[in-house]
Amino acid sequence: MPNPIQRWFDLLLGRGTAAITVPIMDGAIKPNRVLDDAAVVLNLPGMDDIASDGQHLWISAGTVLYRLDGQEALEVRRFDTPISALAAHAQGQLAVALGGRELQLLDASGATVAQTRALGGRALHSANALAFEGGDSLLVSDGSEQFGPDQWCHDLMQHGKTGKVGRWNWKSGNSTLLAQGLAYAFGVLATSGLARWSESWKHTLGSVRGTGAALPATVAELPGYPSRMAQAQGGGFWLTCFVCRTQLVEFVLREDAYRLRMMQEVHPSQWVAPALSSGKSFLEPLQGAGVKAMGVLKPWAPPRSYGLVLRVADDGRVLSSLHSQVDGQHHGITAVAEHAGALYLVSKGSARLLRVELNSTGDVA
Amino acid sequence: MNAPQTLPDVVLELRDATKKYGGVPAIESVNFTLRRGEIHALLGENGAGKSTLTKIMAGVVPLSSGQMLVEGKAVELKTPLDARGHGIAMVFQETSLVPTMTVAQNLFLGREKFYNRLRGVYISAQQFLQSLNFDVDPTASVALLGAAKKQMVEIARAVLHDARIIIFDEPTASLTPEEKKYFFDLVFNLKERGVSVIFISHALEEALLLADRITVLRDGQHVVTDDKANFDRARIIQAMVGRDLSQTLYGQTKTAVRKQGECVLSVRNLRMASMVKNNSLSVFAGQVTGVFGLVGSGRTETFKVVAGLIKRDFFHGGEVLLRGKPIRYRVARQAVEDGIAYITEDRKVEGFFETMSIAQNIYMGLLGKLGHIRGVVSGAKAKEVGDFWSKLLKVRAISQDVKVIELSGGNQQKVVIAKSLVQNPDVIIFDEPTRGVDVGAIAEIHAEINRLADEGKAVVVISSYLPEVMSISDRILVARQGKVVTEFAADQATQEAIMYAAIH
Repeated sequence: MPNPIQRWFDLLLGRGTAAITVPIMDGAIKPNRVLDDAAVVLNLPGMDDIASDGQHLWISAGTVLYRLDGQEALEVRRFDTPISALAAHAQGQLAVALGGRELQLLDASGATVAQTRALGGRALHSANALAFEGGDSLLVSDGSEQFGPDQWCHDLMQHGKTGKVGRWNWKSGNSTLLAQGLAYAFGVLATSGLARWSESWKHTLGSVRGTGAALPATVAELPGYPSRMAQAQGGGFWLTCFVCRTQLVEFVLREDAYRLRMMQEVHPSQWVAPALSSGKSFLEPLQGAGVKAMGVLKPWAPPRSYGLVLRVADDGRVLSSLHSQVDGQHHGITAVAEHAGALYLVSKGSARLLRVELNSTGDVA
Repeated sequence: MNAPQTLPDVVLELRDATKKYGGVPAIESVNFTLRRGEIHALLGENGAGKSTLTKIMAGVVPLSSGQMLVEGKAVELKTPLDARGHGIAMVFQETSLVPTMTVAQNLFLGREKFYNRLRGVYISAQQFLQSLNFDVDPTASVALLGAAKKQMVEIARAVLHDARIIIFDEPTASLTPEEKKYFFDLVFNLKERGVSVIFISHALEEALLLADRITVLRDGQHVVTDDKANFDRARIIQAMVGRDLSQTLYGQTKTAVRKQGECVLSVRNLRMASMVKNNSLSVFAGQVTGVFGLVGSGRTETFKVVAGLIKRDFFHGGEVLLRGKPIRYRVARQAVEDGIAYITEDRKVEGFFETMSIAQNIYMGLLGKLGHIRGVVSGAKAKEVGDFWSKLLKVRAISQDVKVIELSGGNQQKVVIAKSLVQNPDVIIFDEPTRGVDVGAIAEIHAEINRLADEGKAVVVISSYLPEVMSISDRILVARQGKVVTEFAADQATQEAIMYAAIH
């Protein structure tokens, strides 16, 4: 059957691409309260990304680069524009993305040693994740060519497909594109000889070996929108899902006229859309679609904001997960890093740095 | 012949009761007594002779030799009507209701007056069913009732007929936990009214809970009769099977849980009429996924949609994904070809061809999978696969040519399982795999389920029997009102938590 006719039938019957369904969180993604029970290391407004070089844990919050010292964040360097991504190398180098439009390589003292504003000949617009690959190159994800890093929700609501992933070799000054036309690239990781990236609006991960063609997705469709990743010492990697999917949002994403009018007439904080945190205004759509009983919000209700981190094996199987459910606080997890035998997480929704202890096998203790 | 003498409180007695079919004894020299107002549990593996014994008491089959006494008087029952004349009624496992009649009409069948006012019949039936706490609509056609409700009507009919001795054959097999509770209350109520109750059950806990005395049969012979206080699970099982199975059956919390493999089956927001409401779940390779829920929780319907046996809602019916690819079957054969096997909860109606042999039945399963060479039938191949699977699943029969209807429940179930496994499926859905199956066969069926999961197959076990779900599953999904409401890892689940999730 020709594709347009099939699509028309799908729309009529609610099937195929028009089936408004969301993968269930069960099995290894069964909800728990690990993130809500996690130790709060510090509160830092604007906190967005973290990275570990094995010695120190680095934190970006707004325009400031911090280093964690015990329970405190020590300011290392202040930039003119907000830091939109951060990476740390075991040899002490740091990489930052500034305002999504510029990459800088810093030495151990925090001084800039290299910089670029383009990737594969295309200007950076929303660089939101970085990862060192070897000793001389950096993987970069650029979410959108239309919207900045803070306007990810605008990109989602407009079905953005302008994301790209590339490799920047700062020694040679060359950069190459590994993938483009992505539905919001948000997160990169060099692991097992692969360059991996998150494609958030497609709810899956992509990968490429070297500079070859993109490999088929190995991770099954996820119940959340995947974002930044970090290597796990026990094998595999940690994957954050900064917001989660609901049938309501899936429905809104299929209703073009409604969505367009909502975007024109309603303030973005009150859109029927996922959010990093919720419950701050009575005007915003109700968390959990108002599933309350006896005044208590049901933790299993469909989330407007949620906290979710997945431990994924190299072959793409989800091994375990960490949750902050609908009635929890630690939502909008945007970054994760293993450091000093523990797992550190950034809850951007609550502006908190969290710490979860790991056991000898690299799992949550 | 000497005048029979019996104890005054004994209402029914069998002396040296023997029943032979074609010269082969089904029971042999069995002595049995039933006291007035006692609840007597009759236990034994399938094929032990329980049904034969109770059929003799109910006048369904005559004795080959021996004697039966009712109220101290020797009787010879030739028909169930004779038995009813002596105050004996039997509630059969397979209901004997007339499907085209309503519940009320079935209740009063055989007790009609010269002039019957339908409204009066319905009102009487309604009042009577309410007095038993049975939630059954008296105006409903029996054909439309589920197995549990049919069983309730059957029980109600026996009570209504003022029997002094009521024999229940597996009365609780298809009842929900709440309905079971009502049934137990009913049995205690009957006892208070001086009615004697014999019940056959494979749930040993029920025997230990309900019965005053327990009789165990094995291979057609009487093994032991004793007060309940002198029994525990281990002694009953020992008596039933002649070996200790307590370590291989229920009652133990699972300590080792298999690791989750690939997500083979994913059900997303599935809808099917009023039975399945936005249901979502996943099934993983290399694990046994247990699905627990009360009758009507939508468990069976969900998996019947998966297997192409029934269809989801036409509009916005949700998605079923097999290894990430959406599937929607018009007929069950397509599911079989994709490696999905559904092993029915109702083996007698949907599970096998009762007049065919074991080998023929198993071969039919293979023919369903063969695709392009369907229609080419090989007797030699049928014998080969029949022998292989009969041996693997330990199907016990005099010969492979015996008709499946002549096998015991446990062996019938093994044939139904073999009929699906011969298709070499990747997703195997067992719906109530051990309902009406004796403990020996339960252990063997559980072993087979575990073997399949160890081989990396994705196995689903739907069961209303909580100890079974807890002992065999790696993860337990609890369904309520048409959807899965919670999930437990088997090593963390408790009966109380599962039941709470299933009810509240």
